[in-house]
Amino acid sequence: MNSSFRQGFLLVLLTLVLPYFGRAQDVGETDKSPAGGHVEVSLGMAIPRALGNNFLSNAYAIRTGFTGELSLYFNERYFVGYQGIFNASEVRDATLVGLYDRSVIRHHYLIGGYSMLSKKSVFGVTTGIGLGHASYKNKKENTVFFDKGFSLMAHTKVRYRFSKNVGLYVGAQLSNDFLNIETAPEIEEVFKDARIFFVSTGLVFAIGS
Amino acid sequence: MILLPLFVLVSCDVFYEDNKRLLFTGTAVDEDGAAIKNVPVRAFTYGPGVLSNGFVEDLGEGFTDENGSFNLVSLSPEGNYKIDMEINGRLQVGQSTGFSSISLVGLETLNLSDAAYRLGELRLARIVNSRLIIQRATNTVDTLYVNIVTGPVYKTIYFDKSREPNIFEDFFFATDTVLPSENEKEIVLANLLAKDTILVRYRLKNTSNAEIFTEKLGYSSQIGAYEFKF
Repeated sequence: MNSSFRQGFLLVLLTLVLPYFGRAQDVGETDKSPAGGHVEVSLGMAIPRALGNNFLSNAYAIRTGFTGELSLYFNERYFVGYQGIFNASEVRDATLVGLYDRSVIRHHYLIGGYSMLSKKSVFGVTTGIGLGHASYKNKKENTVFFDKGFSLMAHTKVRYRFSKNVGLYVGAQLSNDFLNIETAPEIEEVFKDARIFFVSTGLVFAIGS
Repeated sequence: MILLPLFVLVSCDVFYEDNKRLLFTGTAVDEDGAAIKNVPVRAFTYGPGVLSNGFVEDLGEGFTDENGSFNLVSLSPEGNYKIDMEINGRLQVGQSTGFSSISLVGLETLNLSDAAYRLGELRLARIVNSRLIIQRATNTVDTLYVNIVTGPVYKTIYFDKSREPNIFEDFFFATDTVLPSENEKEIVLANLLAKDTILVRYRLKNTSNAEIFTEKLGYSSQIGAYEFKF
């Protein structure tokens, strides 16, 4: 396990333990807000790990990035929304992908999902899927070119609210990018798609709850 | 202000196609067909600039594997760009000095099949020293003035014939004389490609005709040298 992944798991542990020491008094059973729609905004860091035998896992070093999510709950359980994930990366083996230096990887999803626990609960567990777009903005000195494609993702998140409107979350997500980069049949499999496993953590803000 | 447009021309970049990679494949072998492993391979293009070829921009680089093969992944320039390649180039990191270099000029003129340039077998001969044995066969009276020309240790294959120069690239030459009292002479030829064809230009003194003769000589595996008889 590399060092950035190790740091991510330590951070996850901290986010689960620390709130017990900072929990506000008006959370949980004393929360008397009515059920119904509300909005949640999540902001956090996304720790990536490329999976599989493809150009991304073999030739790129992806750095920890940033993720933001807007979820619109139209009742207590179901939500739709948007998610964006942004990661910088470096090309560590140019012999496998061509001579360029770095890439900024951006994912944009329309998401939909389900919350397993009521919003009144201190803990929340959500699962969701997303359909969207992946864009790899590749840079070679002053020149920019793109690898783009369709992307699918599935994720699950655990949230802990330490106040009425603010909480912490940790999540796991698997994204598959269908890039279909045009190339020779001998290396087609390597450039067909890319798969990334994200561990994310950060703050979640509930509005209208 | 007058120089500003010049700087704009010089600083223009090469643009690359989105969602595309080129593949260059081939095998480097020596003069006997044996694989040459671990020699550098490079594909490059030329950016726009003030000079006719602009600046050189590398597209991809790598090395031949244990079987002498290379699968070079490179970026795909967008538009009409020249694409050249170099195998075991003289200035490349990791160049094997015991083998020749090959430049492939004008690959963009080849038929691009499935985003791949499949170049097949590319011969890089070993660089060796050899001998030329000159013997009198029938002529016992003339002095022989001989000039020997060997080919360069770097080869260029022009796929774009418009870029081929109209000059013969000779590399090494030696001159020598064989007197009437000498029946045989041996000349050392340094730094030529193994088993390469050499050129012998000679003149015979004491004849009324001062004509210069030219003869191509192939390598004799039997004697392990080149042989010239007159």
